[in-house]
Amino acid sequence: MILRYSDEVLINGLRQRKQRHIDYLYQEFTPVVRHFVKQNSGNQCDVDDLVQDAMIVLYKRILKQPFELKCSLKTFFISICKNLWLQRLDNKYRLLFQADFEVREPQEAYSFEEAEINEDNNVKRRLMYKNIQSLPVDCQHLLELHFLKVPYKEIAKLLKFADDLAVKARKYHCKGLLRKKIMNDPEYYQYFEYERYGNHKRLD
Amino acid sequence: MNDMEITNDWIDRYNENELNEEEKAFFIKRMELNPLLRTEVLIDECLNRLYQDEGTMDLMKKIHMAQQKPDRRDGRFSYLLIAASLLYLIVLGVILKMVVIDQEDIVAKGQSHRDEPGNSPAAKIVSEVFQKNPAAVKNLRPQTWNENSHNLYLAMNYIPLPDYELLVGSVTRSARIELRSPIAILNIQQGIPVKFKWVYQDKKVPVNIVVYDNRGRRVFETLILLDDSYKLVTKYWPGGIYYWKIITDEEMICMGKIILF
Repeated sequence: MILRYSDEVLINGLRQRKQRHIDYLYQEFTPVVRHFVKQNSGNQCDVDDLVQDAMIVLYKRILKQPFELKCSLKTFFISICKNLWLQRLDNKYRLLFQADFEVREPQEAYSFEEAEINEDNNVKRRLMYKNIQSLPVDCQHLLELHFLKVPYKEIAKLLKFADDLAVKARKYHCKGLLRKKIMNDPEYYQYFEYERYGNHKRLD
Repeated sequence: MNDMEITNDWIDRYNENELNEEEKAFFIKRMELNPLLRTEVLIDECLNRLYQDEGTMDLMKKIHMAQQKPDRRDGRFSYLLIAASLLYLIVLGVILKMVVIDQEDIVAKGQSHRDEPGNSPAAKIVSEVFQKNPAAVKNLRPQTWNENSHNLYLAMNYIPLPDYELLVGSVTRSARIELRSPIAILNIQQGIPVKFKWVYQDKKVPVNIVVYDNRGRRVFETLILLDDSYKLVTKYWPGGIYYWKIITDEEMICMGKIILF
């Protein structure tokens, strides 16, 4: 038997990133998204990516206070998916017909007001996450601990390294490996070629 | 300052503001000249941002876990999937069994032919057909052990070489050339040429392309002196995995993989 959750409970669950609520959202909303994507020249991989991206957009939207829902959560979620899918089709069309990246139109025409509903950001995030998952397990743990601001000495104890210098060296190696993996990912070239030769400005 | 060499850790240290003023100035100057380094810095910056966004990282992990779980609502589909898998296994087993019986039959027939060489009228007709049209008979007969071993040999061409797999996609930050194509892992049909294209960063240097098979044996090597591209012909190569290396001045620039099918 499957429990039914109200929208409010689901929103709170997603805000706190509770696994059971995420599972429920995924199982409840995916069939509709799947139907929509398959009707619009997509496949199962596209469905998985789209649901993941939409859930992150929804999560970020929920974190912003105040979050007021004017329709059901399912309708809201589907509209995010449709929006993202239109952006993705737009990108695919550009790649297919070799459109010039320098004259990219702004995508606001298809998007919500929020900056986080941006296809490029989603693709980047997904690409990076996919490659993080393909790192050796010790690298994944090390980088996770490092970004959780665990001191190097503590990491050395936890992951059984000789000392903090060894941890640092391994961290540099893992980051280097991850960057190389991302740069060699075919999707990277598909979506980010224009950035590679463009003017890169540091954000600080 | 010119003696400084940028190592792997510099990108991390630059993005985490750990470089001193002199190192930072040197690094920025290098970045202006080297687009590959700029790209790496950009990726590192994005990675740092993603890792620092703990909530999103945690959520992505949990969504991933949700995607791995079977869909409980769609139980009928999973039953169908199991049934289809079982059926597939049974059919595969029957086919394998038939192949084994056929081969035993061939061996047995071969032995009986040796015992009684072409005495019956049927054997005579068969031997006449064999002599007149050997190609047609070849099409009719089942696979022999030799053919099976040939297929097995072909299959072995697709076993990756672990030592080289680790290096696939490796790119050194060489200031000499920058490779534009092919991509690190290329799937192509047998016979389609592979186009190597690169850009010299300042002056032209000799470029060496070396190709190894999946057993680590060197199968091809060429030295290009002035051109900035090379078309690798794969027409007579058997299907399988090949690894290529681009070398200039005895330094490997990058390594990739070609899968010929």
